[in-house]
Amino acid sequence: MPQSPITHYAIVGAGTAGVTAAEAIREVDPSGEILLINGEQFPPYCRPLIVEVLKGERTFDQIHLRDADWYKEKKISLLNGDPATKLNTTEQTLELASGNTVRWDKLLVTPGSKPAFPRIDGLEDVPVFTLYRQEDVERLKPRCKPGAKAVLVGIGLIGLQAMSALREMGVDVVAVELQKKVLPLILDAKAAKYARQRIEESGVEVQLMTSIKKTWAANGLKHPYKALTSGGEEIMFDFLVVSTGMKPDFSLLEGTGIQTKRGIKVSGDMQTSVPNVYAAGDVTEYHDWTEGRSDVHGHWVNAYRQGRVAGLSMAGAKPVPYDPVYLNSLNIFGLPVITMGSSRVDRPKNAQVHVSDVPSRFAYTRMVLRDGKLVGATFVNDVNRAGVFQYLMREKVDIGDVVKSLFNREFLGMEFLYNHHEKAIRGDVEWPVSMDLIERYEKDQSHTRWGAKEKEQGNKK
Amino acid sequence: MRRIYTNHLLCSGCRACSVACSVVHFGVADDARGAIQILRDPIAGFEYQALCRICEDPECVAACMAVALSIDRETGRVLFDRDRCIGCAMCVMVCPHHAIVPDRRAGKAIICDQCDGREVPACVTACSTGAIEFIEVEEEAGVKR
Ligand SMILES: Cc1cc2nc3c(=O)[nH]c(=O)nc-3n(C[C@H](O)[C@H](O)[C@H](O)COP(=O)(O)OP(=O)(O)OC[C@H]3O[C@@H](n4cnc5c(N)ncnc54)[C@H](O)[C@@H]3O)c2cc1C
Repeated sequence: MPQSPITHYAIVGAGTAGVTAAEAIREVDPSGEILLINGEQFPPYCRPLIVEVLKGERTFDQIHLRDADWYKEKKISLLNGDPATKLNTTEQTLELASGNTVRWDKLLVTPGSKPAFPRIDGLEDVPVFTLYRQEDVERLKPRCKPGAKAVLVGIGLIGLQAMSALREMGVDVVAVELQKKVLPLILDAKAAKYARQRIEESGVEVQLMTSIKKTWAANGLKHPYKALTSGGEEIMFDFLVVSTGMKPDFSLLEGTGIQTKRGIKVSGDMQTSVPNVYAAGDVTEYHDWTEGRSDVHGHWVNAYRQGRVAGLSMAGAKPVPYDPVYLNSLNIFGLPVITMGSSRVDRPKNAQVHVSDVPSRFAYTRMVLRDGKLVGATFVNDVNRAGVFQYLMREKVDIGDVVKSLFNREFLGMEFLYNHHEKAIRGDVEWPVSMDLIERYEKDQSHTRWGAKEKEQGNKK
Repeated sequence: MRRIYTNHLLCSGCRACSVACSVVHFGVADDARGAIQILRDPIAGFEYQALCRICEDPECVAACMAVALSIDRETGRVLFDRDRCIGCAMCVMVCPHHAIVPDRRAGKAIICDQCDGREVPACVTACSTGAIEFIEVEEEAGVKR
């Protein structure tokens, strides 16, 4: 048999998208050479879990994406701390910070995103922190002493996690948000109200519709720095945390012809506009059908799924394209919240909104339907059923007729769910049926009330 | 490999399965901590047995940002490393079978492991109506996912 030439795969960025892609390539192509270029010193880790490390609930050694042996076993060459500095798509090469040049046949770019900084005068004169990689935690942690005071700019997903870590360590926090609600990209006004209440109960001072205009060193005070808000208030602080969103990292793309808009544009099999170059994860934009537009909604499930599709197609398989939906699971100082799809819009056009709200229990559920299909859902406190609705949303199941019953706690629509999963539930089992049982339950199913006779039978059983 | 299947027509909703599961895994009789949950729809008189159905392409594994969930490529089963779990509920968010229980007290997910190590899972043994069966299914050769 003639030997087919070995393919050289290169992956830039070893987040979840990059590592999952490497794994997928190896599943299809046992002999290709896989080079995984990790720009960070620290071996690949679960990015969201840096918050656990900051809190002291995990150590870095406990949040690796894979153990060191795994890379060896899969014959994946992992290059830590050597970022790619230049990409040449005509020569099909990459230059690395170490000065080495790598040739590739197939390239995957998964550089993720970087924090976006707001314009604040004098930001360079005060200690500023972000929270998105291992180094940030190493820098920030020593500052987090009880009684220290932080100004947090932006109450989004990362801001929320940052403030819960800071509060847990006894740091006082003043959090400002430009929009008129907290978590504006995922919560509707009502859910945001609950969230805000929880955040304030934890001791964080929340200022909405506020930005920071100016910061400066004001020596000799209890806290050595000062910030001026758009409302004209001066706040003393020890350090400032910026969490005003993330933007895709395009730094490697200049002059490559790789098309971008908000993120890198990709096809269903994750190819960019340049042949043999693929992209996946937070750096890409995708068509969000729940909102009817293309946008960058970086999140874990998307990075994993896209990484997997990219890896499989790079290695020549024909994977099913992934159709992303924006999914978030958060914990707001003990209050579990799950959102999916277009959940942020308060008055969505051409859509029906169904709400169930039990304020005494902080239990709030909201569903947005368009043409009978679920396009947005929010679960506050009562999250156990969220997965079912994720499934209905993703499969674009028409639930217009049953939404009321699916919604109601007393009538869970379990029969509906059963019908969707019948094969997985019943299997091809020859059920050893006991006829009287069947009869009894079929009667029950037809909504007849149990008479005295059935009750007696039931009691005897 | 063997799989757990259930028949709602035979289920009386007694929750002995959930209790048995919690006893075997946590040493407590607490139906709320069973990896099998019986969800009752009182109006339709329907008992839904929610437990891991071992999806072909498990969404929970993709969603687990702590990498506590993985696929056993030999058996297709979902493996759960409880120590790695941080209780973020990402798996709960995506499970189409309503099969993952967030244990809020422990801050961990509860997920069926088919009673790894026992010959017959506890829920199957505990079921007195025959509504839960543990059946050998044919393996698709060299499952690759
Ligand atoms: C604090 C925090 C909490 C989060 N919490 C959640 C959550 O609860 N749920 C959720 O769904 N998502 C969460 N996310 C988002 C989630 O982490 C991302 O969606 C996911 O990690 C994206 O994966 P990725 O592989 O696309 O990119 P990343 O994980 O960002 O990995 C990209 C890697 O590429 C490296 N890189 C960039 N340029 C180069 C180069 N030129 N050469 C070499 N390497 C390079 C970067 O340094 C980085 O290591 C959180 C993110 C953060 C920061």
